[in-house]
Amino acid sequence: MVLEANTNYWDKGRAAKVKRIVFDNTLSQKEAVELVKSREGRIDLVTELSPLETLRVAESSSPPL
Amino acid sequence: MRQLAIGSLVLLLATVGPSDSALAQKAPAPRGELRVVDNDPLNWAWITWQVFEHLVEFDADGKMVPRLATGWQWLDDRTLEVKLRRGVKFQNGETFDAEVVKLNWEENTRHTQPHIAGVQLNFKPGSKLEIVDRNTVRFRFPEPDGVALVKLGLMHMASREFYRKAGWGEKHW
Repeated sequence: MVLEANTNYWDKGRAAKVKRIVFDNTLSQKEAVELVKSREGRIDLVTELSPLETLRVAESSSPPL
Repeated sequence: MRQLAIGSLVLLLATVGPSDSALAQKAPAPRGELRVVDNDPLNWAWITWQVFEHLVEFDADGKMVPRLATGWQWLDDRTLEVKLRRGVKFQNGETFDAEVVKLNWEENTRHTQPHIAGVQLNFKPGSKLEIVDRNTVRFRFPEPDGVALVKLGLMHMASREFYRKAGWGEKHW
């Protein structure tokens, strides 16, 4: 699922800040967490982590929070 | 909740970038790509609410405010007149007007349960939409409906192209 910014949106106060948002649910959450931690930009955001997983990411060498 | 979370995330990214003093007057061009893995089973719903706009919505203080509408007036206890915002175009260039509001009304009200939250959000059978002019519609309800505006706030305003190519389907949720 790819969302493209509407550059002609009528309400400039709420204009999109990001040009494209890609939802890639072909990856598992586990794979996604590793990709977020790698900071390579392949995945920027992963949701629905358990508190324990969140803590592990936060305590990793370069927490991308 | 998730809608808010995504909203603040986007805001956060914007604040990380170079500051733009003209932000209030002119929106900076959108930039960059955000890649997300969201396995939440309601992922489709958060996306839908980000993509489609509504005639009215609740603001952060819980007050009903116009969006694609510019205002509304109860002409009597079962007739609601809504003025539509002029000059709004869908992303594909289609004009937003009374005709497309009527199309959305018809495509929503023909379903037994257009909203995930329950049939209590349906309009009463016999509720009608009349086009007054290009930028005005009038809703007529068979009996007084105190939450009519709340229900309208749930009705996604999609383009003509959306209905030609996809549409909601009875169980879109």
